[in-house]
Amino acid sequence: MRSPSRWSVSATVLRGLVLVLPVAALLVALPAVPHTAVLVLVVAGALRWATAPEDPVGVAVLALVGGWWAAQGTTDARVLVVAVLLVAAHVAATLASYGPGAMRVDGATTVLWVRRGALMLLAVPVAWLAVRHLADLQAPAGTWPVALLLVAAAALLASRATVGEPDEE
Amino acid sequence: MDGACGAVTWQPTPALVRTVLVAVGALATALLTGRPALVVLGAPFAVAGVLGALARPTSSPRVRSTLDHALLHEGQGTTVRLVVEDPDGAEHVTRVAAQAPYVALEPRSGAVGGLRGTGDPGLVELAVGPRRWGRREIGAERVGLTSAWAAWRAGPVDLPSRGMFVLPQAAPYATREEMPQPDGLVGAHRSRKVGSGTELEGIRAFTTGDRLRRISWPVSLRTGELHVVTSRAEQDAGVWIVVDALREVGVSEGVDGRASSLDLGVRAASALASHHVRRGDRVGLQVLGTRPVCVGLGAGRRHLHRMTGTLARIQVDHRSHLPAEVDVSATTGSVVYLLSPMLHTPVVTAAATLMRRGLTVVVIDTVGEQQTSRLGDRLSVKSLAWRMRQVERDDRLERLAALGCPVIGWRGPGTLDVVLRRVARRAQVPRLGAR
Repeated sequence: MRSPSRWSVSATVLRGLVLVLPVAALLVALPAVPHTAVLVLVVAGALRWATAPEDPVGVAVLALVGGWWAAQGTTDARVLVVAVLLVAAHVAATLASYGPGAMRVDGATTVLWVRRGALMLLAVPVAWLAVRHLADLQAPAGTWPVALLLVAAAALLASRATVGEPDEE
Repeated sequence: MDGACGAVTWQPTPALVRTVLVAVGALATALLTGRPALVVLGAPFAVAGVLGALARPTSSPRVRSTLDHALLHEGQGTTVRLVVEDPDGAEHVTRVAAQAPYVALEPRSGAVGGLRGTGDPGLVELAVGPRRWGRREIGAERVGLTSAWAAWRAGPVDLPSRGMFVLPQAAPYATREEMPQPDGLVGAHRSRKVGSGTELEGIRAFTTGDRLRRISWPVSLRTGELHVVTSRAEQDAGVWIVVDALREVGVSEGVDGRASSLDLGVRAASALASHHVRRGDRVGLQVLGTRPVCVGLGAGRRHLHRMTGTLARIQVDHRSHLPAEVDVSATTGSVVYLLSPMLHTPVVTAAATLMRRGLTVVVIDTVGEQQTSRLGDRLSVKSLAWRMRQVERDDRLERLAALGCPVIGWRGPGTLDVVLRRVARRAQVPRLGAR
């Protein structure tokens, strides 16, 4: 009896996207080329993320790409493209993590996540316009510490909300 | 048949943790270091993180699976359905069935997932099909439920397998030949004796004791003397099916592939039993193995089910020692089908003994077309050993044939037609039988 193939076509495509999209997000900066170490780390991390979509290395890949773009100090339109690519990589990894690689990802779930990805991306132009606008304004005193406190509170709430309950035995 | 598990709780998924970490990290770093690009990059993850965290279900789902059919023949299939109790908040269902020997899955990978309640009930259904008779483990799977935004997961939950005795394939078999020695009270075989059946035997002059309803009025009127129609009695036959399960020769690839000797024997035995029970014969089954099993003569569907169930339970213990002799009990007048690869002397001896007792014995060779290519080179030890066994076997079969015992290979419908015709003709010749 034949053993089933390792990955289904849909899973292979999704994992391919997880591998390619973070690297593409770096290549958007061409002709500027990231440092070789950054490139190697992103490629290696994306490779690991593609083979294991639930691996925490996904956070590191997104942080590396985002961090490198932040270090460039630019807020031009290319950041929008990078945001789209990173969100697409996250959505692809989430879809691939629904089941083992041999599982076919059905059309209804894919359509649902394309819509969700679009919903996530709605925040990108809003944030981009806000950042561009605020950069030209003199923020009132205390704006940034208050924002930091709000983010810290949000992080605390998120950490409390995302802690699971122990399984009932 | 169903397998169930207790309630499971919801845990955050790596996807939710990733969105929260990226969002919080990007926004905090943006504020601390004054890098506005991180706000743009972190904003979509913040949206997903908030919506995912808010989608936390409060239910305590319980999952169980049910099989549509409790009894299957090899080659047939059934559906394993998933039942989720208290599924509120569960958006997506993932099922991964365990791969088991001789159990085919649809989809082949055994992994299937889909949105719960999309209106397609077959979306997250798994189909299973046992490919070989015997005990099969069916229904073991791992189930995971995921909430909206893939943020929370219940499970994975392991559902246990259920052992099922898969009945041998009801191979098509039919013969129009009569049993050589019908010897009983009921059945559809013509007896050599005159009796009260429906098959016309002839017309003769009326004698004292004849029933009035047997009078043939047209002939009586034409001849001027009373004549009666005589018919043959209809009698059943005692049929013993003996399956040699001492050893298994060859590799079984299930109902779709190559068959081992035991596969051929069990399937042929099932077909023969089904055929003879349908014709009203009394059929018995004997399994020659390390632990011999015998199902006495009987008739009817319930008896047939008992025999096929016994066939499905046959197991070969290759580590056991072969018995020095095997005992095949059959009453005089019965027909014995011996399904065997005829590789073991005690089985051949038993066949010869039955022949000498005056029983009709038909040996059905179950070696079949074994793939000798797997044995390697013609001069390899395995290949030489197999050829030596074949020479021994051929010698035994020749000696059996000299005793008048027919040996044939199983070919499905009509396999026994010619043999039964010859045996029936020979059975009409008086002969001596030894008890």
